[in-house]
This record gives sequence, C-alpha cells and structure tokens, in this order.
Amino acid sequence: MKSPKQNAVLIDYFLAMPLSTSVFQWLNFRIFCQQANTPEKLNLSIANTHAEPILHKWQLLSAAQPANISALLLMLVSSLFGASAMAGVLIVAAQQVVNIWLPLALFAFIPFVLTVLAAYSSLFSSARFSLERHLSLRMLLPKALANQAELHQPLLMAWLFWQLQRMAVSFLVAALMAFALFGIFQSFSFGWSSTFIKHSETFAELMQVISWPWHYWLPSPSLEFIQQTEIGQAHFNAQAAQNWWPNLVMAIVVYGLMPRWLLSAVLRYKFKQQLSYDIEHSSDLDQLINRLKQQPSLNTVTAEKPAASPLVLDLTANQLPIIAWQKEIEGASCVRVLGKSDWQTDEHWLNDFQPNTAGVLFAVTLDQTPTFELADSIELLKNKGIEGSLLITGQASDRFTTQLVSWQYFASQHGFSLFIEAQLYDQH
Amino acid sequence: MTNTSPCFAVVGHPNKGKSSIVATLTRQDAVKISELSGTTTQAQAFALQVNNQTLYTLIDTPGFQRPRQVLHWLEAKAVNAAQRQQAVIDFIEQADAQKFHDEKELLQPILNGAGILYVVDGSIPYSGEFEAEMSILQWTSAPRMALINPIGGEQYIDQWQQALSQFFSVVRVFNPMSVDQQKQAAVLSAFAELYEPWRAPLNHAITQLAEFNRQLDEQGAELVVAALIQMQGHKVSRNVPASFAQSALSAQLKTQYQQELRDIESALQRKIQALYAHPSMLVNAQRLEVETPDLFDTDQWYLYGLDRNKLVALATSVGMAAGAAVDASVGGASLMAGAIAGGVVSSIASVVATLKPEKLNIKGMPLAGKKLTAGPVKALPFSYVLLGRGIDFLGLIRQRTHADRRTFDVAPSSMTERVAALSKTEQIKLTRILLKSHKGLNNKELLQLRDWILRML
Repeated sequence: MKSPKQNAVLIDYFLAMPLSTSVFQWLNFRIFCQQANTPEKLNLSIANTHAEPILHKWQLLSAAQPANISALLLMLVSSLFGASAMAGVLIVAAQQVVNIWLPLALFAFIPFVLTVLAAYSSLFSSARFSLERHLSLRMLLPKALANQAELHQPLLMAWLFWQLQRMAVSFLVAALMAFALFGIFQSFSFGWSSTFIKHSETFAELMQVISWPWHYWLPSPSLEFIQQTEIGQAHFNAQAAQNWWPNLVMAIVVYGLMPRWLLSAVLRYKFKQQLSYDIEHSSDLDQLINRLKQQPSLNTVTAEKPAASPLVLDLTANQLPIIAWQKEIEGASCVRVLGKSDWQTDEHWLNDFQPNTAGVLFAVTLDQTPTFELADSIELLKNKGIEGSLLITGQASDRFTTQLVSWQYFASQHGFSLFIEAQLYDQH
Repeated sequence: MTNTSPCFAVVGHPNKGKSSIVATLTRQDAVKISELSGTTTQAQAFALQVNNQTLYTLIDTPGFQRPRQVLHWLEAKAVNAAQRQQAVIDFIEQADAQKFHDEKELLQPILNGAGILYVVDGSIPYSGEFEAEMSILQWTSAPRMALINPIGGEQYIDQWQQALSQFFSVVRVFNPMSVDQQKQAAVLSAFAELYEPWRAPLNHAITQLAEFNRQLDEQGAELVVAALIQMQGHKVSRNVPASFAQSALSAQLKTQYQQELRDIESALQRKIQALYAHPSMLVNAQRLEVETPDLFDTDQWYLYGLDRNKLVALATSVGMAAGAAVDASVGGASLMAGAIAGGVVSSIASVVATLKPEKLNIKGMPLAGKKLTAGPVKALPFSYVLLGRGIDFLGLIRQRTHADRRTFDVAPSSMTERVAALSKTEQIKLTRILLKSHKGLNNKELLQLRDWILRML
C-alpha cells in the first residue's frame, strides 16, 4: 500500500466524482501513469512529485473524456423494453380481461428468480472475476479500456454487475411508469384462470401467501374477490376485476423491483469497495513518482573517444630518470618521491631539477588516483622544456582494466604520454 | 549551521565511490557513476524523499584535486586555529576559481551548513597524501564522519580506522554496492551522532525508511500476484475451418501464447524496477518456457526445487481435505472414507499427471469449424514456476543497491525452500489458491497470497 496520506488524496479525488465516471477516470489515470513519456508531459519539479500536483496536471493534460454512454444507452433501452413489455401486456387485452398471471410472471416472479441468479453469479460464483466468462459484457466498456480489460478484471466486473442491475431496475421502473400512464387513460380489468387450480379457495390461499409481505397495509384479495374475478365464469364481476391493480403493483414492487434495487445497492457498495481497494493497492503512481524523482547528474565527465593504449616499457632498458608519485616504486631507483610532503617543497625541487635527459618518467601505480596536482608537477617540468610522461608500475589486480581507463583518460586529457611497465603488462 | 534538515556533503579523493554512496543512500539510479576518475565536476544535491517528505540530502561533490596547494593557501591566511574557518571562507571568495574549481565546489556546501561525509577506499593502504584534505576538512569545523568504502577488498580497513579516527568523530565501513537495509539504517544512526539538532530528524528518517521499505515490498508482492493471476488466466484462440490442418497452427499458437506470457512477465519486471527506482537496470533472466521438454520433465521441476514428491504430497493433502468436508456433511457416517478416497484419488491423479507433464491443452470446436485455444495452463507445477520466477525477481531486486550498475542476473532459486517458510496448512491453502487462480481471486485471497509471497522472500 502507498502512504495513508497519498491514498487519502487519491480516494478523495476519484470517489468525489459520480461512481460510474470514477472507474474510467481512475483507469485512465493509471494508463497515464504507465506511459513512457508521462514525465516529459508532466514537466514537474522534484518538489512537486506527489499526488496533488500530478493529479492537477493530469486533469489539464487529459482531453475531455466523453461520458461512457454505452451503459446509459443500455439503461434507456432497458427502460424502453420495460415500458414496451408492460404496454404489450395491457394493450393486447384492451377490451378484455388481463390474466393476472402474465404481469405477475413478467414483472414479479421471473425478475425475482433472475435477481436470485444474478445475486449468485455476482456475489458468490467463482466466475465473477473473469471477463472471459461474460464476454457479452465487454461491449459496455469504452473502447480505450477494452484492451486493458484483462488487467483490471475484478474492478471492471464489479462495475459491470452493478450496471446490469441498474438496467434491470430501469426495466421494472419503466414498466411501473407505463402501467401508471396507461392506467390514467384507460381502465383495465384483471382476472385469473388456471387449468390446475380448480378451486377459488386454493387460489385465495396462494394469494394470501404471495401478498403476505404487504398485508399490513393492503389487505390480501378475499375469497369473494377471487371468486368474482375468475375468468370464464358466469359470476365474473368486471367492476371488481378493476381492483386487482394494487396487489399487482405491490407484487411487482416487492418481488421484482425491491430485490433488484437491493442487489443494485449491494453491488454498488461492493464496486465502491473494489475501487477503493484498487486505488489503495495500485503502485502506478509510485512508479511514476520514482521516475519523476530521478535526477541525472550535471556536467559529468565522459570520454569522447577511447584513449590510446599505453606503450609497453621495459624498465631494465630505461634511460630516463624516474620520479615516483606519492610512494616508492619497487624494483626501480627513483630520483625523488613527490606528493608526500608539502606542495612548496615539491615545487622548489621541481624548479631546481635539471636532468641530463630531455624527459622524465612519473611513476604511478594503478590503484592511485590521477589528480591535477600530479598534472601540475608534470607541467612545471614541461615549462622548463623537460617532457614528463606517465609510467604505470606495480602489481596487477582485479580492477586492472577499470583503473587503467582512468589513467588513459587522464593522460589524454593533459596530453601526456602513457607507458606501462612490461612486467605489469605481462602479469595482466 | 544554517540547514534545518540533515544535509551532508560527500567528499574525498576522486574515484573513491562518493557518487556510488550518494546513489545508494538517496535511491537514485541516475547518479552518474563511472570508472573514470573525476567524473563529477559540479556539486549536486540529491534528496531522499519518502512520501513527499525530504528525509535528508546528500551533496555529491568533485574530489580534491589540489589538496596540498589548498592547504598551503589556507595556512598562509590563518595564523592560529581561531582563524581557520574564516580562512576557508576567504578561500571560497578569493582563490583562483579556475585552478581550484573542484575544491570550491566541494567546500561551498559545507560552508552553507552541510555536514561532512569523507569517503576513502579501504582496499588500498593508508598513506600521508590524504592528510592534507583531512586537515582542510577539519578547518571547516563542520560535523564530520568518515566512510571506508572497501572497493577492492577489506585488507586495509583497520589501518584506515586507526588513521581516520584521529580526524573524524565517527568512522564506519560502508560498501554502497552491497549494503542491506539494516546496514543503511546503522549508517544513518551514525550520522545522527554527529550533530545534536539532526538526531531527531535522522531517527525519524530511519523509522520512515523502514516503513517505506515495508510498503515497497508489499507493493512489489502485489505486482507479482497481479501478474500471476493474469498469466494463469491468459489464453490465445484462433478460429479455423474444420478441415484446417491443426498441427501447423498448433505450433504457431503455442509460440504466440508463450510470447504473450513472456510479455506479461517483462511488464511485471519493468513495473518492479520502476517501483524500486531502478529504471535503467538491464536484466538478464532465463526466458520463460511454457512447453518444452525441459520445463515439464522431472529434471526441470527440480530447477525450481519443487520436486515430484512435494507436489504429490500437497495434492494428496488437498484431496483429503475435500474428502473430509464430505465426511463432515454426512456427520461422520462415512467413517472417513471420503478423506481417504479423496487423498488416494488426488495422489493417483498427481502421479499420473507428473508422468506426462509436457502436454499442452489444445481444444477443438465441432460442427461449422474449430476454435483452437492455447491456455490457460492449469498444471500446478507451472503455477509454481510462474510464482517462483516472480519471487526470484522481487527477492533479488529488493537487495540491489542503486550504486550497482551491473546487468541484473536473475538466478532461479529453490521453491521448495521458499515454500518451507510456510506452515503445512498454509502450503495446502496456497496450492488451493493457485489451482483456482486462473478464474480470478477475491481481495482477501489476493492479500493472503501477497502475505505469503512476503514470507517467502
């Protein structure tokens, strides 16, 4: 998890938006954080590499995101289906009696069963995390996210399940509204009939069971009412048949709409939980911040081209005087060791030094560090017409190549000739 | 002292690892480290920021190039010890800017309030040439400590400790290439001893860093879990006419599937690199092989150390647990036959599966045509292979310092040893989760898997 403060900033930002929008804004932000050129786009100073400035800059840089209309369109379509279905049930029986089983089945019992199945598949099924098992739902995703769907399945599935329930709620709400609208302008009679239920008493008991949830404020259909509204019977009372509608509406609300609405509320809560989890446990922002914080070194030295390799020198054949730098050299007699005492002493000696040859060798070992003070010493002799060259001596080590590169660069930088002792060269 | 948060100038001879120390302690991959002596020519501050808080700042400086000449200049200015600090100030203001550019660059931050971290190479013998620069640093009167960097070995560390302790109040050995989190905390504690006003912020920094490292490990483990789920559930499909020659397409499909799994794994590695702030790191890892004889034969199982016996034992335990649930549901009337049968069946199935592990699951579709699908591979050994590779990478990168610029070699390790960090019950639960991971896991299972990965690191 990120720091609590950073989590709080992100959650406050993304959950402040409407939930349907927040998931896509969040995923777009994640994609933005992952893009290779994001640091250049953001162009933030090191001091501003934290959540708030990044979010603010991202907002400015992001093109206005079109609202995800596919889910809205499908809710609209679902509403149309609901209204059409109810209209179909009512209009078909314009002058006739509507069999109560039909609206009960279409808008109460079947939706109830479907709600139970939906609850299972969205809350308990092992397939609830797999978009692969719900390929038809992919069409609800914005195109830009369809390719990323595999990465964000739990979050997208949670959103998709919630949207499905919203569509189902739209279906039932539209159906009820269509019923209300048609009911204003037309009178509908409802009745019942059944091949298997022969006695009104049986149907009355069945309706008592069905209407139990609302029996406190709306009486269950009485036996007399049931007898009067049996379709095809001589004693059918058309007037009484118009009074089925309160129980019908309650059945649609209690068995159709309320469970679906409850499931939608639960799935909305779970989706919000999943979104919070995703925000808290995503490291995309931290990865981006790390990239933003990288500070390249300023004005560093680089070798423009490979320096020339040193020339091999056999000390036994050497005629030039050797000046040791900062330490005695084994196996060679040196006229002086420079670099150990104070600078003035070395300077005086160099000014007084008059070799018989036109050049001298400054002997160093690989593990020593080339410094400008050594260069100054060589330059002092050069000003007197004495050419100073570098001679690398000593023992080879694991870092031979690395150390040699430094000396090669130093020699080429100052224009010194570079030699390597034959024995050392052979060792390597 | 003018700085409010801890700030240290890292100074010393050229090429002694100053930039490496700065890179490691500030977690900066972009600090230039080169074998060339004198790479750094300009002082540059690098802050360690954690959760938008600057814990401390290290200033990478050029090395001393003319220390004896500087000391000579200073000695000419200061008659006694009381005038030494002023002499250093005068040096910054008056000395030749071109000749003493590097010394001015390294001394200016110190005069601005930075403490001193003096770095030496513990693999070369101590000699008197270093005393000029140590004397100059003494003259600044700034709080100072020495770090002995054993670049080429630790042969002369004792020598250095004896010499340095005469100039510096605190001396520590610090290898920026291999130091772990504990040793980094120890060095920060040593920093805290230098200067009283910095004690509290540095102790706070140690606590913050420990928490930050814990957060990093959690996030790294979560990345491994996410990639594992993605790879476990991944498949590649192709619709072909019924009469199409299946064998030709099978090989192509397998290759595509394998490549896509490798792409997912590469993406995981890049994300972990970014998380641990190693964006420039080059990686050398064995390529993921989904279906080769080497991967699925017994020999290759041993590559991850999850041997056949271990697999069969785990599968047997899972079967027994499932059978026991059936026994419980009948109130024990089955006399534990469910558990026994479950264990036997799972055991036999796993033995048979481990006989022919090389087969990849390819499905066909009847009637109008065929749909050939490669994956998901549900075999348990493969799940452990994926998990092991992710843990190997994560485990190695969390130990890598930011001074280490070598190619990152990912060597596979033994999954048997890693899994042994869990209890038997947890191992069974892990197996169950891996078996169903191709369908996706709930948040609780994801967090559990993350916690197990952290224990197995």
